[in-house]
This record gives sequence, C-alpha cells and structure tokens, in this order.
Amino acid sequence: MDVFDGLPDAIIVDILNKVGDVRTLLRCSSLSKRFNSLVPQSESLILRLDQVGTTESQPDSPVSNIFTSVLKSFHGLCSLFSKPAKPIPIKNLSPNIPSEILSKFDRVKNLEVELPGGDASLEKGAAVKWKAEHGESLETLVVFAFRSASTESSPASASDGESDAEFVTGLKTRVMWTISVLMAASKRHFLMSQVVKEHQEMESLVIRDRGGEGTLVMGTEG
Amino acid sequence: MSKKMIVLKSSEGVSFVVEEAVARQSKIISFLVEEFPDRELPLTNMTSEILRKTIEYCKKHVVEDDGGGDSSSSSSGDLKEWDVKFVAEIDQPRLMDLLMAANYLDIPSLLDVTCQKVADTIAACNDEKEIRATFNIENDFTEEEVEAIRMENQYPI
Repeated sequence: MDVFDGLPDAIIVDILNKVGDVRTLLRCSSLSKRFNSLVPQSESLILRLDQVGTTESQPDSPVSNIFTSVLKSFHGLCSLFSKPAKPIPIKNLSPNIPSEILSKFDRVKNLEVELPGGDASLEKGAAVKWKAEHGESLETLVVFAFRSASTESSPASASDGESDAEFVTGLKTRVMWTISVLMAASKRHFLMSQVVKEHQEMESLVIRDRGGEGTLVMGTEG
Repeated sequence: MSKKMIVLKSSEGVSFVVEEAVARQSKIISFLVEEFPDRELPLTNMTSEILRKTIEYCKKHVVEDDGGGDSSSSSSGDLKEWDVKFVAEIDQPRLMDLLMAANYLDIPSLLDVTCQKVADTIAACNDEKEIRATFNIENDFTEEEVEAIRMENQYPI
C-alpha cells in the first residue's frame, strides 16, 4: 500500500506530465508495475539531449554590428536542405536517437527538445539568435546576429563612410550567416523527422538549445 | 451583514464553520450545498488537520479572487508565491493527503499546486530508490523484470 494507491490513474499521469523530463520519467517506469504502465501515457515531454557536442562561447563584449533579416516562405531553399542525400547529423546525433528514446511514449502531444548548444557555425566572436516556425514547410525565420566589438572595428558607427568593398563583405557575411542558420534549422528539423512520423498525435514540438541560440517551433502540420 | 455559513465535519467529528463562498471552491461541496442546504456536511475521509489546511487554502483564494475586483498581475503573482510557500511548508505524507483531498473535493487549483510539488519532488530525486523511499512505493517487480525494464529504458547518450 503506497500513497499513490489512493489516487486515480489520471492524477498520476497529470503528475508525470508535470515532471516532463524524459530521463526522470524513464526512471519512474521502474518504480512499480503501475508506474510502468502509466509512464507511456505522458503527453508533455521534455527531451534533453545534453551529452553531445560542445557549447559555443558567447561573446560578452558589447554589440557593435546588428542586423535582422526576416525571410518568409523560404520553401525552395528549405526543402533543398531538409532532404539531403546523406543525413546531416547535429554533431553525432542521428534521427533515430530521439526516436529510440521516445519509443516508449505513445501519446506525446507536446514535446520540447533541448540541445546542448547552438549549431549555426559562425566565425569566432560572432553570435546569432534565431527563431524559426515550421508548418508544412518553413514559414518564418527571424535571425538576429551580432559580432563582438573586440574582433571588428565597428562598421555600424561608421555606416555613412562605409566603402563599397566593406558593404559587399557585410552583405556576403549576412548571406553566409543566414544560410548557416537555415542549415541549423533544417538540421533540427531533420533530427526530429522520425519522431514526428512516429508520434501522430503530436501537436507541438519546440527544439531549442541551452545557450538560447536558436528555437525551432513546429506546429500540427509540421 | 450575515454571510451564509456552512458546517463541514472531519473524520474525527470536529466541525468547521466556513463561509459558503470559501467552501464553494470545492465543486463537490458546491453541489452538496445546493442539494442539501442547511445541513452539516460530513467529510468522513478527511482528518481535521487536512481539512483545516484545505480551508486555509480556500480562504486565501476566495479573498484574492474578489479582492476589490482588481485582478492585477502583481496580486496574482503574490497568490502564486503564496501557493508555493503553502505547499513547501507541508511535509511529504501530508502533501499526499492534501492532494487526495483536493482530488476528492474537486478543487482544481489546489490539485494543480499539489501535483506540481509532487512532480518537483520526483524530479529532485537522484534515482528510483530515492523516489521509492520518499513516497514509500513498494517495488512489485522481480529482479529480472527490473533488469529488463532498465535495459529497455536506457538513455542511449
């Protein structure tokens, strides 16, 4: 006779949903037969893929160069990146890893995935924040990137006197950065593709990293 | 000024006189009050201690709910803080009793905060042995079954 015996299954599932963390939930399933049967019913999960890859150092000096670019309906480019002949793993992650971990859960509605660090590879001293929303295809992508003052003389403050050559470099950098963010977003999309296929009831999926670099949000149609 | 009072009776037979608005946060009591007005309501599976705690929670929430009709964000934030403190002060066995009371009386917000506290406690444990010890859960698996589940649930990375 334990304290949970007096509680209906629905309440225990409710508690498990509040626990969220997949590692803890898997631990719960070895508590007792009842828990083992209830854990797979959890609907809200947080999956932390935290022992892979390295975290990128964030620059701590003041921001000197800021740009924001908004891309809408980037269908062509997105499908180009999200269906590569060879899978692009995030570091050494393959799509069947999250799928394997989540195989026990069959009612997932809301899933949050936390990656250890950002994966848009930029030059040293630069940092980027991005948020992508994915429906049937990539719908919006907001990129906010900056470079630390210590590595660059400030082009923002000298914007009037900017020469053509500098402008071109700037544009090129921006395009490069945008593309690496798009690739990072599509890598995440690809990483979760198998999970999405296997969990038909899923309503929302958010993939973020601990450093807060990028967030990929996928809705029902994703 | 006479507010309507109702009487709740614990398993030990102790009577608690409560304002109707306070008690009505329980959907069950709300229903019973309409069905059986002016009657003492016996709550035979609740101890006086747990009933007192439940009433304390309901009192706090009824005051805040119609606190001058001003539901500013700060007051709801204060209430949340109060909730956290309220459950933090309760020890493990009583927390489970309170959770059961919230479930039995159908008080959704109290159920929510108690469930959250239980979830946090589970998350704070280092392994399943600690969870079992904390909640006094009996292990009804055989050695082989435990091993099988552990294999099945290995976190691959």
